[in-house]
Amino acid sequence: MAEILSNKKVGTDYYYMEFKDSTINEKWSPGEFLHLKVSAEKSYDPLLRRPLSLFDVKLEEKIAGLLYCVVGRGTRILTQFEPGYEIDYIGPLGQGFSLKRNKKILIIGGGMGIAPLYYLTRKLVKKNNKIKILLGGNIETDINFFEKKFKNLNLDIDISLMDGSRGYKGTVIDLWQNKYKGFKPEFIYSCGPEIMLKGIQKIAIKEDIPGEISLEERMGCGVGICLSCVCSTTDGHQRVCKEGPVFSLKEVVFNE
Amino acid sequence: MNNIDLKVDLGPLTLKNPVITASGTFGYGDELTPYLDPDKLGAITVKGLTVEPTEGNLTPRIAETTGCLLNSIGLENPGLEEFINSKIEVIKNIDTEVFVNISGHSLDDFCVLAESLAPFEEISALEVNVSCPNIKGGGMAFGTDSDLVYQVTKKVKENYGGTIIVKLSPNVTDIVEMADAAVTGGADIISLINTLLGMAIDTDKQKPVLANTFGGLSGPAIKPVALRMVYQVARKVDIPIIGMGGIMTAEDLIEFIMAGADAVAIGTATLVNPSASIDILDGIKEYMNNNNINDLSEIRGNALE
Repeated sequence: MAEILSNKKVGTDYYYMEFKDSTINEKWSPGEFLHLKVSAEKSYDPLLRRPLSLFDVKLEEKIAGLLYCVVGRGTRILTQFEPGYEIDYIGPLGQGFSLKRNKKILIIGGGMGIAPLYYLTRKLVKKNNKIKILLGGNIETDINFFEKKFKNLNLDIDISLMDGSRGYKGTVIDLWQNKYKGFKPEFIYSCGPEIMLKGIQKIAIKEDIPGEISLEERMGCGVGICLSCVCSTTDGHQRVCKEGPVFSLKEVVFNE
Repeated sequence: MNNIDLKVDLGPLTLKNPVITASGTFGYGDELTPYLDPDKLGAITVKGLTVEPTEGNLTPRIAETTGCLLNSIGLENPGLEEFINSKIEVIKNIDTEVFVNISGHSLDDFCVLAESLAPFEEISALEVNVSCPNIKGGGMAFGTDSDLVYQVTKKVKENYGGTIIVKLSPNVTDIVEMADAAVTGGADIISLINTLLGMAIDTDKQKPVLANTFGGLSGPAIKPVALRMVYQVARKVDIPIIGMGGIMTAEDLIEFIMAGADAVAIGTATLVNPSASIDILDGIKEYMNNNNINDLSEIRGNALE
């Protein structure tokens, strides 16, 4: 039984849902996702499940948190789910992030992409890593929630906003390459809009820095059967729900 | 508890029950083992096979519409050679009937597929997908031309030798004409329907949602069309029929049986719930118990007039 504890708006079109589930265990890993039913019981509308990445997992309390953005009908319906409601999900699904240790790490995320990076960071902190966090958005409400959460981890964090209302004015890549020009990590973890990931991949290839990114794609079944969610990699098509959503930074082939 | 017998007579084949999984929604039979035991099903149909490896279409490959799914996967599959090298092994370990769905872009393709798969006893039947375009003959789908349906069926039967199922396209004026052509061509079993052709438009981007523009429509909202076509075909042909299109529950399955289907295939439902086919199988047992039915032949075709 997975009972909702809270479901609140926390940013520009972002909601944070926490639920309690006795089946939560140590295998619930950063980068994995849950495939949620958004239709009412016995209803087929909306038909498909919606994939939401794990934002955080509190193992002892058996609580998991999902951060989602309202992008369409399904996610809009999700905002109506009240505390006490039982959610129907499949998962956790997919391949999560690998957890490096003893490394100088850059966590760099844009907008909604920051969501899978928080739980990852909480795990990396325990592995003797030196972590720098750069978060970017368009406007303040894109990143306030994330910034607050990350700040609680007492790590080196900085932000960029396109509208310049706070922090560095520009993209998160500008923030890195300009304000932190000399910062060369040993490993990069990233998630965000495709244009951002493309830019990070370029830098990573040029400077020979390994890393991992989490991709997003429209999903059907979520379990590797329907082949809706494929992405191009140096090893041909891979399924974002099965071989991903986390891929090595250099193997993903982006559209031109 | 009644003495329920779920066995289904499908001409040359006997299935342990009427629940089959549809091509393209169940992989090659082993991917969904965390969610259900495929051996419990009447049969599984593996992902559509083409002669050459096929990369499939660009994404987005799916769109959701009210009560439906639009897909244009594009028949992504590893091709005949890789299938024989690595997937036959997987099929060998499945303890129920396995149908291999074949797709060709020309009559030659169908012949090559049929001939190459003939030696494998692990395969219970070929399911012939006539909804693909006849690229060498102008691009219209084989299944929209009764003469082509006849020719493809005949060629596959000749080159395969074993049981063949012809899967009809619903994008036609007269489904019975297509069914007749398949029967005359030598089909052992007819399955219908494949997906309806549809599209969706993204009003923000002002263009089609699917990268491939059009896609195949499936899911609960197409059930009335599928049911109507099964009914029409069942009135006319004498060979066994596998009905499919929007089946989500045991009650849906019963509708198809009453319309004259001998067995059914479950497709989109599996994408919503990986264990849907088994849930439906359990639902059938419950239905039969509650209605004192020992054998589905007692209600098969009862709605036909």
